[in-house]
Amino acid sequence: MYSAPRNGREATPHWVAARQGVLRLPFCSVTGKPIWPPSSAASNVGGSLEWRDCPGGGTVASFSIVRRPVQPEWNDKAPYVVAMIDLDVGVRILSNIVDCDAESVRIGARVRCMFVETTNPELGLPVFRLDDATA
Amino acid sequence: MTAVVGIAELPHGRMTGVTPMALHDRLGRMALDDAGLSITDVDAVITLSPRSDPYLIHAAALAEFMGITPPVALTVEGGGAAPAVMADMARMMILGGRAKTVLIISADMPLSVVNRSNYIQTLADAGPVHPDIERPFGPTVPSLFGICARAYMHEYGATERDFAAVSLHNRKAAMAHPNAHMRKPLDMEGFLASPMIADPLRLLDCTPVSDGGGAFVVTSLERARDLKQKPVKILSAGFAMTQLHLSAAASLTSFGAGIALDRALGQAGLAHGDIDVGLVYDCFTIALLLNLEDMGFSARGQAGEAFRAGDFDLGGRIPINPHGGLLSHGYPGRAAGIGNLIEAVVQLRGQAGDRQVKDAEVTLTHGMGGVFATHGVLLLGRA
Repeated sequence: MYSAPRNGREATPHWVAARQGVLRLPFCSVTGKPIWPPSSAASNVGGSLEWRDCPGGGTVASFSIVRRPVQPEWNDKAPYVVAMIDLDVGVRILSNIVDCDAESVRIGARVRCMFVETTNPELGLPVFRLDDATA
Repeated sequence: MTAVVGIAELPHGRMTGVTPMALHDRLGRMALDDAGLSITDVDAVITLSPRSDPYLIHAAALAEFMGITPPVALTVEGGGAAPAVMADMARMMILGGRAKTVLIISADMPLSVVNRSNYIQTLADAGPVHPDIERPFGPTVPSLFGICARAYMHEYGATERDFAAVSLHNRKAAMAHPNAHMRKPLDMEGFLASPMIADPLRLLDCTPVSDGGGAFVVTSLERARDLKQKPVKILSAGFAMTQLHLSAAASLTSFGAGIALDRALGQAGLAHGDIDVGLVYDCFTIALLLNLEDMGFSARGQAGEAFRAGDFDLGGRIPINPHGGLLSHGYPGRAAGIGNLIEAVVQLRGQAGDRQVKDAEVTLTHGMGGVFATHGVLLLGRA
């Protein structure tokens, strides 16, 4: 099981939604653009952050296959894929690509969001699977 | 105008029989001796808090240890860009009349006091990894640089041989440096045999973890002329930050090193072509490739080929990291990058021996914090 993310910080609505099976991201109320990591940048244009539910499709921007984990909870999971995902909604997030042969991942591959539980029963995480349709 | 008048460095690697505080003390006194100054001349001390001895107000702890009570004792946070930050602070204090003799010491013992794996875990917990939105997915620092490396391969058709070219270049240079950590010969076969750490990066794409560091003394150029060593002028400093976390970066293959360099060149009234030697931050092989390209020393995607062609060798177009860089000279934890500044001074004094760049008059010292996040460029010149 994944270790829980920190609770009570800026990204908490994202993790709470993930536990409910929803990809929820913050948007600038003025420009309508997603903002990630969550920040106060919307204030610079007189706006605020609005959390919206988003579709889970995206493309692999780049990735690395971790063969030497450094945190104890990852020791038995190597090799695993850490990737930057360009979501169709127009923002890049870091996550894992799971349930695949790490060697089969390619830049530009289509991926789809799924959700995993964590050690905190109220918080989940969005991770990604290769989209078979375009593999 | 201000000048670097004294420097100190010890061999990098595993240090025994010395504590982190004693290492700072020793480096500080060596730098003062080198300058021909006394500990009682020091009216400002600048340090950074080492991972191996994490005092909250480290500079005051060090001043107390050294038996001095300077009016200024500042502990700086600047990641790998810290050496340029520290030099620029010293310069501003002297030009503003707040200090006359600034002693700057940057050292750490992550290898023998912290141990290698704990140090690396610290970086992955609260270093350049975002503690909220990145850490849950297990990115190691090499994997974040690995993401940049793979994007670079994809965009420009680069291969692991381009990364190897950096590693081999720096190792060859370090073999001529008595203070370098990694001095065993390395060839392509040896590089390719090193294990994958964070694919596409291998062990030899990463810096070692070293004990070490350095110290330097800054004073006015006027006063410098009466001291022991040929003074080295601080011409200018330029800084840039584009983000802290890779998740917030606009690009995975281009960052702020060139912005920092342009700011430093503008301040000094110098042009790119005036730089005779570059000491450029290379915590990973990919870092040196991207930083050199961002600074305009190579066309995009071509830095690996430029290394193979000898452009960055001693007699080449612009010599880069003649001391072996962080990759082979050493990576002393939070003090990483101080070696680039020390080498710049040695080169400008003409004291580099077999690795001396002929007629070096202007050097570029570059430091970087985080994953291409903060950049500090210092231009130094022969007086």
